[in-house]
Amino acid sequence: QQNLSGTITDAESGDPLIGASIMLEGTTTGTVTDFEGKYMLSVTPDATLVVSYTGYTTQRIKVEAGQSVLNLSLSSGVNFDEIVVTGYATERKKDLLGAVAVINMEEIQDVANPNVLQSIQGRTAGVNVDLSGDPGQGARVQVRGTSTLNNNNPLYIVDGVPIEPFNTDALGTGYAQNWGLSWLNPNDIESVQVLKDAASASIYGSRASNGVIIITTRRPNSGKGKISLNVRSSVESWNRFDQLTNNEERARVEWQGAVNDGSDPNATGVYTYEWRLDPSLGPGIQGTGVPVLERIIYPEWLDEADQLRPSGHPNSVYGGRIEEGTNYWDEISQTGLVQNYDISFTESGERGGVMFSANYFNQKGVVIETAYERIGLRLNSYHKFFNDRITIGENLAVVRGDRQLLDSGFGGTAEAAPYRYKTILPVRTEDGRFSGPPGGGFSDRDNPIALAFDNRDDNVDNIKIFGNVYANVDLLPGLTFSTNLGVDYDNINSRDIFRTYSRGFLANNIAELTLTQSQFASIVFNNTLAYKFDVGKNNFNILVGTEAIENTQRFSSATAREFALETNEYFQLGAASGERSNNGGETGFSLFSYFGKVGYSFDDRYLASFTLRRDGSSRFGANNRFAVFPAASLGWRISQEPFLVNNNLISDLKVRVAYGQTGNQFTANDATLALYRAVYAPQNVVLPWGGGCAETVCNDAATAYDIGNNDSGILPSGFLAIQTANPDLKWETSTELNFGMDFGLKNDAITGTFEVFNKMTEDILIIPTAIGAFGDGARRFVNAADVKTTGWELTLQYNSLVKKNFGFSVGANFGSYRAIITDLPEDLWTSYPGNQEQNIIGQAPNAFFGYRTDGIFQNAEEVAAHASQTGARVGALRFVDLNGDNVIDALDQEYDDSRGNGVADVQFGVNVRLDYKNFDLTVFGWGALGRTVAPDVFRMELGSLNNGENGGVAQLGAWSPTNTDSYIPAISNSNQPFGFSLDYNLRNGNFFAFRQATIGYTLPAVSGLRNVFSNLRIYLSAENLGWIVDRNGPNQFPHVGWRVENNVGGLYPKPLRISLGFNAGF
Amino acid sequence: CSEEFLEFTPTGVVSSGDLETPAAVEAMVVAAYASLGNDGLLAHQYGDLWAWGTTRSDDGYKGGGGIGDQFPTHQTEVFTLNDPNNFNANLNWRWIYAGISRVNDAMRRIKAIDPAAYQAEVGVSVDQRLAEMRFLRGHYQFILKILHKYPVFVDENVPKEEIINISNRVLSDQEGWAYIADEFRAGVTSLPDVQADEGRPTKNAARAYLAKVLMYKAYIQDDNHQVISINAAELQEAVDLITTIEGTNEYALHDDYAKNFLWEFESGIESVWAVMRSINDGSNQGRGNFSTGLTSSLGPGYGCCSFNQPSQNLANAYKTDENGLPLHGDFNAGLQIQSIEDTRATNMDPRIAHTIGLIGMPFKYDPNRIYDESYSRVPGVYGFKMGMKDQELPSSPAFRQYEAFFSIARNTDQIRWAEVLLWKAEALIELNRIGEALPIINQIRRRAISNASLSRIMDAGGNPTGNWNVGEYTDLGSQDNARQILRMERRLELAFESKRFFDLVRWGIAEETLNQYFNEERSRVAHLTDALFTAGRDEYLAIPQQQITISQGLYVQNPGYN
Repeated sequence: QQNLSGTITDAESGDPLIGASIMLEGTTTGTVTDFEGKYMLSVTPDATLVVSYTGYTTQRIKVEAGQSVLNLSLSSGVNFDEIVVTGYATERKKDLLGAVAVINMEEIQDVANPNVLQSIQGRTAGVNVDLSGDPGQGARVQVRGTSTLNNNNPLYIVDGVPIEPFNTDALGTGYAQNWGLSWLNPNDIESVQVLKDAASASIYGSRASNGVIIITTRRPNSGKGKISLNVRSSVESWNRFDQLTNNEERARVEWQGAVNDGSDPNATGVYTYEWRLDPSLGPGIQGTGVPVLERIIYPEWLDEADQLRPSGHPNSVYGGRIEEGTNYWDEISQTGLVQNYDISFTESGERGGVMFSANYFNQKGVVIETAYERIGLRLNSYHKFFNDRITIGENLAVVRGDRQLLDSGFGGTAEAAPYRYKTILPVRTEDGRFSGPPGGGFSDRDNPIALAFDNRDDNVDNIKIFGNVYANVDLLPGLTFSTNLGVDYDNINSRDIFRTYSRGFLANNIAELTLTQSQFASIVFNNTLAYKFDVGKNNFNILVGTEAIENTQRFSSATAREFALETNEYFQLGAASGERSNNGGETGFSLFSYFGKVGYSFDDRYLASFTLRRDGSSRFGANNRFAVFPAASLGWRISQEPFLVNNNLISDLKVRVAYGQTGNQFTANDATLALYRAVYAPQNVVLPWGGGCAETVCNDAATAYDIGNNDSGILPSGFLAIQTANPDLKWETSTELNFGMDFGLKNDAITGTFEVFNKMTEDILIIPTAIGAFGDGARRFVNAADVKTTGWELTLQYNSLVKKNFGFSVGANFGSYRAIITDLPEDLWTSYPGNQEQNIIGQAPNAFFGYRTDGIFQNAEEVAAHASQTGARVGALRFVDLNGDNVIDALDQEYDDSRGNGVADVQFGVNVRLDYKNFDLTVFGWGALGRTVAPDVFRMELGSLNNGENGGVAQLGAWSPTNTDSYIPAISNSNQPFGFSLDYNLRNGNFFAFRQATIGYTLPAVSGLRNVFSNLRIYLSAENLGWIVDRNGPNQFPHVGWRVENNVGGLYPKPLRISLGFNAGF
Repeated sequence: CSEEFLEFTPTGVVSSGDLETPAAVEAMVVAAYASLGNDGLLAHQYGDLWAWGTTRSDDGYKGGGGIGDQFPTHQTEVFTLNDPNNFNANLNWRWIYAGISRVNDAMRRIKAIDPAAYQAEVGVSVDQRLAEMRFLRGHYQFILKILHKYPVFVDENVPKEEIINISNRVLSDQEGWAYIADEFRAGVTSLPDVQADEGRPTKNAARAYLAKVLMYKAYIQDDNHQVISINAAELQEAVDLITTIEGTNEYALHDDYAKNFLWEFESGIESVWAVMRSINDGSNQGRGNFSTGLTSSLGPGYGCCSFNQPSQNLANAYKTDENGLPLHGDFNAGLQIQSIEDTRATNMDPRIAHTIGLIGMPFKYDPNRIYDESYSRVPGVYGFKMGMKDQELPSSPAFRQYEAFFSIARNTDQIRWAEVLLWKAEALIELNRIGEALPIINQIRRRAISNASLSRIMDAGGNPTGNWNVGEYTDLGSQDNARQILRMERRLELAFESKRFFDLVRWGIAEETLNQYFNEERSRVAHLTDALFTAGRDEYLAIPQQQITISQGLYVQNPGYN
């Protein structure tokens, strides 16, 4: 034993670091520095010190025999010795040659999302996530924008086991398996890495063309046993709504629409009006004078026989104000509540380690009758044998999830309701039953409250077993054999009750119960041999391996009709007295691969890497079953060159270039074959959006026919051609060139990464639209279409000099993408906007196509002087005669990239962290610039009767003879804009959203509570605090994601959420 | 090992080679028939062509939730918005070809099978089955022809991969009609007089359909769709065919007009050939008629969606004079028929009470169900009238509700005997044998006012719901006069059976009729403000732009759409 003492300081400022940890490696012995940064410790000779401090690079240093003083300075900044998992192997982050993003788990650990993916939106350049507040919902992720016309989902690898979060069903369409990664407890995650470019991802070959997200769960910590407890409670509220008309406003709008058209407003069905024409105010739209509204008369009853009074009617038993009606936002929303409890235990010693965790998550959503509950257990452990030459371990998670989801009953989901169910309709009739649409003047949309109530017992639950068993064997120095067997098993049960009801003219007379069970099993088995060796300054790192994947999917469903009671308990298949039916099937695919990788570096200055993967897939025919995906990358760490190595400014500088190919096999399991199928009758022919096939000639059209005119009973039936063979079907291939630069300045106080890429996706797997005359069986998977994607990403991070008690860091990331369809077969042109003269080729996949407008016709003279335009009248939008033929028709449309193509020019995220004494504060926001959206202006601004549904208050500000400055054309029931206008329909989509702010307090190390807790932190966090937009019109909710903003209704809001929690260690 | 590991065996499907036994071939024949019933409520309304035959005519408005609801149908209703990219027209096209492809698939299998083995196992000849299939194909091609004029003709001899190379102008207009006529001539030759299965066409059905084809073919159009001459020989052939059918006594008029529009009497004596519909048949929702799934009113027991609403013009057309004869030229002026007060205030043809829901009248023959303002969805746009012929009462066993939507399991008549008789009268008038046409027209009119028909439309107190007065013609006057009488009679008898627009085009009077209609109707309903029929274009839908694009320009667009 010898005594060792010294001072730990900040490398740049020389300031002492207070409370830095000094541990003897492999033991539980250690100490912390005092207020002067000093420490004293008794050590054994040859001991290794581990010196760490939050926000600084941890250092390991060996104590020399007899040494008594050891001073050390730590560097702040990004930890460039960080180890990154990059595909069957790990690498030092500083050696990376491709575009790999590492998510900082610390930043997102306080976020009350059950799904880690929802938390990473805006945190990393190049990764885009759909956000939703729907409890338990998955998240769709896009890496580097849209690069294929096929499925754009990345491949997920959790602990070496690939996951297909979106499966293909027998028809080749993708659907979410088990709500994305909602099952994975974020607290169990140690790291998340995103392999963005093809060179990084190509080791995963056939499914990597949309990027790879690698998630590693927590390994046992070194040292003695530690128990951690995380508790968090959150409240949520729906913080902003689209402004919709109340009862009086709707009455005004309907009157205005009718008089604008010159029709009788008293025939509109609901309200009656006292009004007059006043020619002294001008000619008006119809040339007969300006209409003036004097009084709105509300009906006494909407349906007296049904005891349905207008909401808020003075005689109603429910009270309220008739001018207001029912506020359906209030009716469908509730205060959400989220609770999360994590407890984990970890310990490791010389022979192995264990990490056990348990998690309980419970969320009551902000929309009534929505909830999610998750209970999860995890056990990660390893053991070492034969002088540590063999390590055997496993990672196992067992999770049960239960989701009460919004039923999309008739008229859509509940949160679409305020747009659809008029405010004049009360929730209940005077005698206490749920109301329904009474008839003329109302749409066929159902009462949202009734819908939620009727579906309160519907749920989807699943049990997921996910994990792997692995063994690493050190055969020779540097030579390691690894084997890994992984399982992803999911058993999903859904229960769907369809109760009888009669509300207004909506009714269902037969109660129905459907139970569906789906099982997904994916087994992966991979074996690798890795060899590391050095020859002088040459470092070699060689890996070869094989991988086999087998995926099976099974589903069965049973439906029974007619139930004597309609209680949740009575709804059992066996209790039904009526007709029963069932359905089911199974499918699957397999993959087999060989791969190899050679890493080389010379003197840490010159780096090179070569990858080759050969994949075989059961989805492709014998002709093209195998494909090879190569990659090569080169790097030069300039900062290690003699001329820079002592430079004070540049602490790190690396340039790199990477080229690689990846594939996509996203197609139906039976895509190469010609097939016939017995259909009998489709599941749902009436409601096409319920899975039926009214919209295209589909593989679900009936083959049964009552040829004998018996009217009922089982019908004779035949077979339907569903698919044409394509034995030449092959992989979709992406080829990407990535140029990157990593830099660190001022001893890495400032670090950054810049990437530029060019990606060409070819032979895209698609189903072209066949010529109509082909008829049935026209579905055929082909390799056609090319998309070119270019873009850049920039990440910057600044960590301040730590002055005494104060620390400051700020990070920002920027990403920009541009995709262009460079080739597309004619069969698919009409799947995109266009006309007889123009098509999508050369445009972004979601480019806007439309007319130009230049304002509103102010008077009859302007109408007369204008080119011939159907629907031209005073108050209507004036369309531009682009081709100058004096007629506004389909040929006056254009693509105009300068007006936006649905994709932002730049997306960015900013996060700031402040540390003061024991307090920490983080703030995070994200936004987009150069972005255009096309919200539903028809509902929100234009149509007055609009199917008997509600609309936006903006309609009140539409053009009228007395409001001629409005940009909104005169509302109408029979006159609508001639077409989609790039001026009127498109709105500025720029935004900045404050996503999160957290303030935490860590109990001082010197506190007396340290006897109980090894650490204790309390925090308060707020999410979705607000946002800034710069536009007119509806849907000003950028926080819900980049895709859904172009819709209206049916959006589950991302709520304002306030959380209080603590992390404690024992 | 890896090759075996990567082998994939599909599940729950069969290959073409599994479908070559007589039993499997019969199943493929059934599948071909099944496509007749695969019409649906959005766009592929080929079982009942209301969106194409009624709302494009002076008989009806689109209806529904406003002009934006099923906008493609608004586009075709006002004509000025006619567009090669019409969404519904393209889907309808695709679905009909799905039916044709099933026919061709079945025919290839029938032709490949040993005829003796087939006859032994199935009990009918290969020739008969082939004739049935050609009948179906003729039916599908007929619909495409009246909608688009120049469809693509694909028979069983065309390999599937060659289909994309066939132009829509291989056959001229007249050759196309001849092709379709030949499909039915095969039926006249090879179909039996009686079929055990009522869903299969008989020899008489083939004769009637052939007569129908000839009634179109005989009105010869020029390249701009204008009728330039009439082929007397073909009209004579139609007359002869119908006379032959009459001689078999297989069909007659129902005593009660209403029986054509009630499930209890479906496929009765007046039905020549119909698409079969069923319910409680093991399918989730019944194989009902979904092509009229949007045309229900919003009255009690009904719901969505109030499409296909009768025009004011049509309601006025049922006015009669003191002799019970239609007012012809000036029916549209004067009293506007809106309600039971109006039908009681003037002489009326009672067929209006079978056709149009009017305020205060019993709805669908139920004296206790009085039609009121709540039946139509957006009366501020489309008025208060609803169609009734395609409806059933909610109490009917053939009626099925799915939340807001409905289907009706009543078979969908494609040809009924009254129409066949009117073709004969029409052909005779054009052949200037006006005297022979007179009794036919009067026969139709007699049934309209028959006691059986009238008793069906009484109010709850047993009183007539209108001043019903239908008289017979004593003579039809000049050929031109007779023509006007026949055309009016056809309109009144067959209104809301989705024929009207096609008749106007066939007769060459679409432009004059519709533009006059628009000029008058525009003052009653705002949605027709911009309606205008352009002769030389609007007689037919465009060839769907999607099809032209996919054909890489091989298909030729119809005039006026380029």
